[in-house]
Amino acid sequence: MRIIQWTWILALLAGVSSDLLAGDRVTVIRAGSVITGTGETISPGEVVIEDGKITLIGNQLEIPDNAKIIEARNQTLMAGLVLSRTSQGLIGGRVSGVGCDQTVLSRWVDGEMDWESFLEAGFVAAAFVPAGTGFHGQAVIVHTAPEAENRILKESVYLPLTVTGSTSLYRTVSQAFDGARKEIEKVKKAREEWDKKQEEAKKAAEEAKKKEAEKGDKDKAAAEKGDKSKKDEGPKEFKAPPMNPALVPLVDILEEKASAMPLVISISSPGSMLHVDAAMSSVKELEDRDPPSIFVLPGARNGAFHEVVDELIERKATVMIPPGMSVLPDTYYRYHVPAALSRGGCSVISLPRADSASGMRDLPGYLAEQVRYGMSEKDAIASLTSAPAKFLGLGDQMGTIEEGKAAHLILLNGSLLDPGVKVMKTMISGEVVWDREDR
Amino acid sequence: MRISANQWILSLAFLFLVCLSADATAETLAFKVGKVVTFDTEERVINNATVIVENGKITAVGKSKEIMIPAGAKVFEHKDLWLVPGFVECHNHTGGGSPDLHDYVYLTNPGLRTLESIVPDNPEMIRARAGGVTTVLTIPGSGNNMSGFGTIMKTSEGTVAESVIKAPGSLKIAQAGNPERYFYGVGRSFMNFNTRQTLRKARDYHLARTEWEEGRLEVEPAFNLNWEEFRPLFRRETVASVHTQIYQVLMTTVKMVAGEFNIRTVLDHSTFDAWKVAPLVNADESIYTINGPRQLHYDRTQRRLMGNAARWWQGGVRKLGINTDSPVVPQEELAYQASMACYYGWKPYEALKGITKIPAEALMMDHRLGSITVGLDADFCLWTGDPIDPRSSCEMTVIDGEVTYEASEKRVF
Amino acid sequence: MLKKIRTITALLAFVIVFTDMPVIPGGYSLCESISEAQDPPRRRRGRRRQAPPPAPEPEPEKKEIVAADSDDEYLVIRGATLHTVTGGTHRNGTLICKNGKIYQIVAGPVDGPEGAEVVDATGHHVYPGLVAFRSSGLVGSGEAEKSQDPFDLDTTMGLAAGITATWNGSRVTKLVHGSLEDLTIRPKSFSSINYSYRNPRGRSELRRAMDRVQEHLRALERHAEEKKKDPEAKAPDDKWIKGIYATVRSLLTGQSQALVRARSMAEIREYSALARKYGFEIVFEGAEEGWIDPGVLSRTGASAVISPRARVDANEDLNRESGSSIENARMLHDAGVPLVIIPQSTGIALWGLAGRDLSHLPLEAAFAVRGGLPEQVAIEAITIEPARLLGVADRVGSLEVGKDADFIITDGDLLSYMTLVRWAFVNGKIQYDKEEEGILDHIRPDGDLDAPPPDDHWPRRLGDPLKG
Repeated sequence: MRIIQWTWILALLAGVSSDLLAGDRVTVIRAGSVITGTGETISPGEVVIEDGKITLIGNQLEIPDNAKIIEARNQTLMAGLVLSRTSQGLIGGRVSGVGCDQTVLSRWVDGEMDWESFLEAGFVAAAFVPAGTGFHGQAVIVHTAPEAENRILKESVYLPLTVTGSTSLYRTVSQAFDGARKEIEKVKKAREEWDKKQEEAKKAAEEAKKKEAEKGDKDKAAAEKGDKSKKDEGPKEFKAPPMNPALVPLVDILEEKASAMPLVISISSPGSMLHVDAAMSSVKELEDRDPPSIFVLPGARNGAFHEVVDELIERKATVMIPPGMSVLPDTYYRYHVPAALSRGGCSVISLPRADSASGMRDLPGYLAEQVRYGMSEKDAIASLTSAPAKFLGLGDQMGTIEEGKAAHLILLNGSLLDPGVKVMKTMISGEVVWDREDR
Repeated sequence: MRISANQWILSLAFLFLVCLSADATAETLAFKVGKVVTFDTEERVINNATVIVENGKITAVGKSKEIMIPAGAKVFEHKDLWLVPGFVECHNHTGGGSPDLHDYVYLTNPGLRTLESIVPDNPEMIRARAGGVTTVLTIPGSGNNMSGFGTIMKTSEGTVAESVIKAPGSLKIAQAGNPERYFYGVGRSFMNFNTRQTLRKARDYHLARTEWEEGRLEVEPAFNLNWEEFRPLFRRETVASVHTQIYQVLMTTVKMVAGEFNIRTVLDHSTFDAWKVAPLVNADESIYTINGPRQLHYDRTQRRLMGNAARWWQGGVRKLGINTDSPVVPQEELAYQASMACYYGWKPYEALKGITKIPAEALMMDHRLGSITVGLDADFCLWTGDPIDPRSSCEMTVIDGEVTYEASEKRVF
Repeated sequence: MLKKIRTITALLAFVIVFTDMPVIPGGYSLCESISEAQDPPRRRRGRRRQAPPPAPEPEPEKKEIVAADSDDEYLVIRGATLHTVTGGTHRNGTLICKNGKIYQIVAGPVDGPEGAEVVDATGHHVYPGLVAFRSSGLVGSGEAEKSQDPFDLDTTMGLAAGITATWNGSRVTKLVHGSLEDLTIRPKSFSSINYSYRNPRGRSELRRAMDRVQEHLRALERHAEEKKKDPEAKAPDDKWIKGIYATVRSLLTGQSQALVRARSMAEIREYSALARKYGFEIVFEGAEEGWIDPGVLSRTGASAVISPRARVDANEDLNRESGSSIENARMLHDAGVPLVIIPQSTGIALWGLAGRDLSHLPLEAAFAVRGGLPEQVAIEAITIEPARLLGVADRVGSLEVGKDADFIITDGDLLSYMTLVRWAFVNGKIQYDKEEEGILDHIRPDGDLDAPPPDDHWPRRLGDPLKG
């Protein structure tokens, strides 16, 4: 209700300065219902887009005559979906071991990427990580528009750690952080040496001055000495020796820098979570820090994750997980891990069940199941929109329909929670970049 | 201790006399024991009891103070031992020694029988009697739907004629499971069709011969050895041992073999979750359920370990016994199979009955075996305690009134 | 007539042999002379089983009064029969644990410290946690802290069988559910040697290695002497000691024991002779024919890891004893051989054939009792003896003050076929609770033989998924 009142006021204001609305940069979408993602549904609803940004949301808005109008009276408008982890369509080998500097930027040919399938599934942004195990690179968020001028939305988003076996986990973690520690020590040592040299040079210079004062008559010698001390001075600024780029993000973590990327840890069995904790606390700098709280869990039928649900809830963890039922090992019991996590207050981010075009396409059907097993509808929708946007640091740009946010929107032929729902149009910055009618 | 020459001579003479007298009355034995578990009609358990055996049969059972020991009887006095009926095994494949298990001829082989392959007193039988097993039904394997007729035999020493007590002892039918591995492409529907056709032919033959024998048919139907063996089966004088496991297959067994063909049926194995159809089994009073060798079912729907025997019992099935499927479980461990049934929830007395009286009834041999009752075969064992406790051992095995195993000579198990 | 004479002769022989009558008046008894001839008086080598220490005098009075706000964690087990294994049995005793260790064993009922967790185990029995000499799948491989799946069903089933520690081939490891802390007790490895007569080449190589290493060890001794006089004396070269030589050195210096799977008496004799000649410790696994001449094992000071029920048929072609015997355990024990009992299948088998795997470890020991082994020894063979053999007897294997609080509470005599584990504790914490875990909860709940069948419902630990 409040939004509607607001929009009336805004509309009045807009009417006063109607010249602002004039011009063809204005697009208006008239949808059967608008799911804002902030808890309200306006049906029917209208969204005004200007300069690629959402400027007005409401009902029966006053619309300039020359505005471009998209009529979608029997469709649902909502924020575009955000994919928080994918490696689709990448080229080159898998990364293993410690390669924190690896990104996908050198691992794709933009023109060859199948952006259509992202758009068809409603994804407007995706975080790409190189495929692999261990510390296999860092995530980069991109737009999915086929011809994007600024493909990259954000770099250095998070640091994936993918665990395959527990033994290799301990090895990778100790190898990675030992390496990072050595880098820190290397720089520290260099700085100490530099400081020492500075000190020595300073002293030498002072002594030289003294001597100069004492033996002012011996000009020639003094001048010689002065030359010599000048030579010893070295560089004015300390120049740190270059660090191994593969380890720099880990150095940031050890040094608790504000720019340090969060670790996103993929585990394949519930026991791995305990091993991750143990491996992390075996690093002496991390021993007293909070245990890891961002996990990627496998999809359905994948182990006794009910055993660690309580622990994840206690950590208020962020969990990326494909929707679906788990069957507890050695039983026929079914258990819905995402729903349980969401009910317990974790931030659940949905991933496709398969990292592929069909996996993305099939996602909405499975979301409905999560709701049946106790996840609220709001959380289910948020798990593909506002939750990943917020986690990826794009919460102010996308994830909900709010004034001022970018107009990354999708039109659906029903609710996102209807099994079999289809994306009709996908818009990035107010531009329709994919339209089912064009296919 | 020193003994003088006189004493020597005296003791030798005494021994001589003892030997002479023992030889003269070897047919009468008296067992004075601490406890007898009879499984007779009154289900008596008698402490300080005496059992008299004459000519291989039990002639008296009762409290020691009430039983007169016949003059000249050989007396075995074991006040610390239990006397328990010899165990009866309903599902054994080692009556011919271990290698001779199965003939893969056709999917149904009504003409085969194990009688031809019996080797009495083979090493497996020696171990069997050391484990308290005095009778086994040796049947062919379950690799095809009908692998032939079984033989009921004692585990005693002696010739084939002496040890075999009933042949054919049962018809072996196997439904689903193992026979599916017979040839590629044999599915359950064809197997059931085929088994049914075979049984139909056999029944038609039996009915025709009966008609002729009773004078209602003028032309004698051709005599056929294959089908002749089936006639006691349709007269309900012998039984079918049916290899049947999961509950769906068990339902087929009950409906087809016991129902449609009116054959006395022994449900062998009856494992996995077969206990789910206990009410169906209860509906036919002649059906015996002889559970094993699996005593355990891990139930994924409940995440529980189920004792198969206990679940049958809880389902109201009372004609319930235990088998080993020897050599799957060694024959001498029949009592241990009962221990396992108890570990997973059954009751010791019922379990002991399930390896003595119940299988004897199942094989229609309870007029000779399975209990300590006057007139029955003197097949029993002396145990150091509860026979299904693995700590107890069988000290002596008596079959047909003859001591066939004595642990004091050489302990086998 | 001939038959009768034969019978009499046999009877006479029987009387003479078994009643130990002197054959010749005034002469030696037959049995005495036979045993004199066969075995020299037995001598036990090394640190073998001493007589069990006398039961420690129970201390009925409390050691100290504990402040209520103390950080120490106390656990008190009351009302049960305590089977300490090494220190006697106490009816209605009290077991007090502090911070995961056994703190006090009291013969009578006493109140525990204030604020202690109290388990009323009236009518139950407390035993030390069982130690499975070998196992597969119960714990992770190598360093279990880094490899174990903490939510494995096999671990739970092992605990349900009463097993709290086992050897995974390289380490003695505890069974713990849902945690990766305090798993490894201690690394343990045995040396494996092959001296089988089926491998003549390997035999001679092994003997050569033994000779060479023995010579080297003597040279080392000589060197130590020389060094006293001449500090500059050169040490014998040991760069060549690698591979088999290293194995042999660790054997001959007593750093490790040989673990050998030997079935036949012939093999046992061969290995024993080798062990006696070169003076190393040997453990026989299997030893199915050990009963034929157990004196060989005892003279060698060997231990045996056996499955009493193992069945090896006698070789009818041999003109001597062969094959297994149910009396193997008893006869080895009578000869003084330390015994460890494990079943032949060392995993957890849920596929149906019950009673042959680690789920029924105590019943395997019960079969040894069948063959005449005293019950106390049978229990030792699955608790303190494997702990000794694995070098962890100072931590587990019996209820003794100062040892780890790893114990089980059963609803009956451990060796009975109707006994189930009610609780299993490791490091003083409940690791298995029959009712809570639910896998066996329907079997004799509270000892009720006539309990109704269980309801088929959602797992008890999870609650209803459709409710919040």
